[in-house]
Amino acid sequence: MIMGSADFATAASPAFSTATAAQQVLDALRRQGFEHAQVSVADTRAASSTWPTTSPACCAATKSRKLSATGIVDGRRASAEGSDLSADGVARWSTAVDQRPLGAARRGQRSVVGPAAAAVQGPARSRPPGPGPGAARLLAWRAEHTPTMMIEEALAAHVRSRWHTLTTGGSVIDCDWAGAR
Amino acid sequence: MSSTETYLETRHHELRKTRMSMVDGNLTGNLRSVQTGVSARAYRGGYWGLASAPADGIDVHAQVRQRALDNAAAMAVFGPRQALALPGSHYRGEQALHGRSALSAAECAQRMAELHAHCMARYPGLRSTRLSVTDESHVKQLQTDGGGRSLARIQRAAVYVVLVGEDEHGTPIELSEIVSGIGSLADIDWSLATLAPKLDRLHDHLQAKRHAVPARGGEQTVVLAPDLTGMLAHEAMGHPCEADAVLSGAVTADLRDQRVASDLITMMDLAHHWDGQELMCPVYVDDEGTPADDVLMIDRGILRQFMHSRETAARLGLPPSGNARAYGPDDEPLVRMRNTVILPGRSSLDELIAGVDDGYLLLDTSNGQADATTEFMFGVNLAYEIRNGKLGAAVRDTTLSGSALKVLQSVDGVGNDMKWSCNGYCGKKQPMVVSVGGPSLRARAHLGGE
Repeated sequence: MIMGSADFATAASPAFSTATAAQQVLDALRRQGFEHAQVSVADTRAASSTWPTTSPACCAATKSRKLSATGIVDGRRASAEGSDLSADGVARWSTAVDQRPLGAARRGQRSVVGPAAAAVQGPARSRPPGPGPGAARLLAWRAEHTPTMMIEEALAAHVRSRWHTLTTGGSVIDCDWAGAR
Repeated sequence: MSSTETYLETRHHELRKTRMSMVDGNLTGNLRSVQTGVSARAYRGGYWGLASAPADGIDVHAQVRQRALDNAAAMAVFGPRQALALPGSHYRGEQALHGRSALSAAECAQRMAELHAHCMARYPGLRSTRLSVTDESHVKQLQTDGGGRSLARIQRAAVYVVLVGEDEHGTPIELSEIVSGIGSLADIDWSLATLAPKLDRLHDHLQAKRHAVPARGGEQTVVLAPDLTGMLAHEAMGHPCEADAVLSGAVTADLRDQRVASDLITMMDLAHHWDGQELMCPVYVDDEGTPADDVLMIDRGILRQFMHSRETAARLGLPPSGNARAYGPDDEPLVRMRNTVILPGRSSLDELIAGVDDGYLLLDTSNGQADATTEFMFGVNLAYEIRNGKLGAAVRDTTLSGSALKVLQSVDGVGNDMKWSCNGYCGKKQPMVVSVGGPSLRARAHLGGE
């Protein structure tokens, strides 16, 4: 979004595949005996500018990964989430899912079965040169026209998130979403 | 550092959580999460830059440090700004891990099932129970350009038991018992033996609430139980004493060294100990490496100090207090509270109640909010009338509202009781683990009516 961070927010991670990671975890859950499982792996980049007062203070660029899954055995389920998607991390994570006892079944609970789907939404890159100049104009206008109005907190961000969801029922959902807030 | 230098800090942050939920004896949720990341924050040319990434990457430390520097430099688009000399020393040390080995999911589920069975057997007519247990652990390793090297931990656990009944009209009513404390679920006492008498009292309140009467709206004399005092301290008076809020125009900005409360009120944000005991949310070093000090916000009614980060301290020409805290691996440190408390006084709760001819005892709150003017509104879900110094009928769910400044100035009695709790989160862009404490208070405030 802002200046030097724009590319960071939108660049893909060539060495990391959400689909591969999701498949590895789903396979691990199958090996552990889960009858049904749903696995999602998300890779998210965010770039933001925060103004804790009336002046901009911090430009942030963050990237995060999140693996979340639910497994079902005998109609009972457990869930876990993690950010360590290394081989060791995935191994530890799938063990964490297998914590007995699992949650009780919900009436009508079913594994997801359906076709593959892919969705792409939003601008993968923020509009150059980002909201910096616009924010600067807004602040200049405030200083000139409403100097007594205080900005308690403000945030401008561009977020791109790619995630891949797999189920033992055969569903494959792949999303590439980007948006600003 | 000098005003022309670049400052950098790097944090490795691991956040682990467990949450299990049970409804009517059925385990409905069993979630474990682990989030690990590395972040760097740079200060250059008067602006901050932050970058973070998962901790498992190659050269991740070097990458996030460079990215943070680039981001700080990129803020130059907003124009030149004078760099501040960030004050304060840099902590070196490690916070040891105390506590027992964690409970397994099976042990937690077994205890929850026992609690549910106990409630259903002992309290006929109970419509439902909801139980949840949470465990949260933060481990933060921080390195600062000022020479700081620290390892800090935050650990807290909480158990929530909700009893659901119905009133005389068949409308659902519920009350909750919450046990929280430092450490894991293995460290806090939520055994049946300890909870049983508390649940008996909770059920007694629930029975009283079946025949509750509406509160009379308007300004009333109220006795606040410690749970409400803690919320009042944190939400209504604590947030306006965060120095970034002060710089944003909070009403407290012009009130320093002036009377803002009764001289019976002393309010602090404590770093790690009080009365010889380690607090529920002990902060020895904050997330920018500042050694944590206690902050005396209100001293016998006079507003004295604010809570600071290094930057807010520099802007106001004051020492930092160690209040810059970041919730997750991707978060930048913000000015946040730690263990916020109104200190106890000399009156017993019975004395506070006996001094009320016509008013209310407010025992439990469901939620609350406040703004920078100290105006607040809290939900009250357990209360009783006070008539001629004695407790009367239970009161239906209502609200408590007012200006914290006016309410605290009206205080004419402070209890010698004290309760700390650390369940729930403080919200300010990021969540935050905090604790609140306080005694009973007698004051004037507005209650919502029918």
